[in-house]
Amino acid sequence: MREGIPDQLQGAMRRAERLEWWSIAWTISVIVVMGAAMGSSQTMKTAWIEDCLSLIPPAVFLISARVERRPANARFPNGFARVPSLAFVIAATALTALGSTLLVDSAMSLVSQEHATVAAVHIFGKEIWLGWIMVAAQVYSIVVPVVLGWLKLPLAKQLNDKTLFTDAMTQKANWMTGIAGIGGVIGIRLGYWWADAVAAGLISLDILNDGIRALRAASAELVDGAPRALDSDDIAEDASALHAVLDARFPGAEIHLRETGRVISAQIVGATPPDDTLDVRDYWPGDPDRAWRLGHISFVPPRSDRGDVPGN
Amino acid sequence: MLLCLAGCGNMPKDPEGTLDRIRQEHVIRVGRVEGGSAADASDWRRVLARVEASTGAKPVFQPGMLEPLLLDLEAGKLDLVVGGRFDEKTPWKTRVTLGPPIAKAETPIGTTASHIVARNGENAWIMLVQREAKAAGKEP
Repeated sequence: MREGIPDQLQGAMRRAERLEWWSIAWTISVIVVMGAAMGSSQTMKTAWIEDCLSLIPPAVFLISARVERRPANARFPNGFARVPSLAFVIAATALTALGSTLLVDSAMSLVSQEHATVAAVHIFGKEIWLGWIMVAAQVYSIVVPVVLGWLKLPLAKQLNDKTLFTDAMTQKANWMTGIAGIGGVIGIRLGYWWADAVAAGLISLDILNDGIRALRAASAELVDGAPRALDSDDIAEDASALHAVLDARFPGAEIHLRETGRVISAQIVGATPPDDTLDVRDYWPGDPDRAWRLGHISFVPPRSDRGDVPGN
Repeated sequence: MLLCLAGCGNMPKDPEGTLDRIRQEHVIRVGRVEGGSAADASDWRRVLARVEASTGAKPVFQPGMLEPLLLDLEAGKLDLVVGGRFDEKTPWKTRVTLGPPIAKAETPIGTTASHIVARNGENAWIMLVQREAKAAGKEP
């Protein structure tokens, strides 16, 4: 696969890019609203940092989509099909860093027994408890990522794009933090100083879990591990099916599958191509519309120096 | 629905029950910084008089130096500290709650302001004191 994004995915890819631009614009509006209402609440601060860091996955996706389209050249003879893998590592690292920062922050405020001061503000001459303004900002910060995450998930699956999927997970983390934030503010309203930090801590554990899972899958991809599922570190189902088909067609050969960006590359060690030309679609076991997933098949003939060939 | 669960009304509760205790015991434990200016004292006394009227409580003063009083406030041994002047970037800003500035003084090396200081997180109490500080500032 040397020519970047497969043709069948061009439309979906353009939709995803438009969505990511919108995502950046809406996230900036959430950052402004949350920053204005932040006060000294730990959960609000946590949610605000999270909103800032959630700009990283869409930005990385847009850059990688642009680079992925570049044609191969003398300095990069294999093209840029692996750029999404690099983007995935960056997005996964951002998500993990996010979870860790929030966990440490909330643990520290719990240990030091920080009591958040949330006093009053005056709007049009009327005294309003800042907590209610925080709740309103949190509601806004929930609606935006719920809608964006809901739009991104099907595109991530169609494109088999792990950066986009991690981005959708970041959106999930955002709206969950929003709900925890509302819980924290209501806790302060009821006089429970610890509610704020506990809410932030619980959410950060969930974010950290998502981040570590993504980071493990991203690392596996970088070291040419077998293709992983979009949403976990397990082997992807379509890769397992492909492995079984190739095993049956080339008995005795070693089948090495790896993921190059969004496509799978298969290396068959100890076998020669059955014909002078081959159509990779003939080897794809699943839905023909997803045959683009198999980008490349290469053969490594049996080696006489290693005794792979009988009689040598 | 969440808002209703939280209970309607504008006032939060104090985690350590400062405002309730002051209303029940009719005593406000006030740390007074020694050596403050007469002008500053007249400003915070006006605010304190309004807080007394609003809560039906009388202040019991504990004189002392600023930082030891702030430590007592942080530990819950005092309800307010008055007569202290602070730089805008004071590190105490995160450890205690500074009320609105009630008197500012410009000097060649920076600005300091007199604040009435409350313990962090006692939100109902803080709201009451800040409301009275604002109202006192509007008095002729």
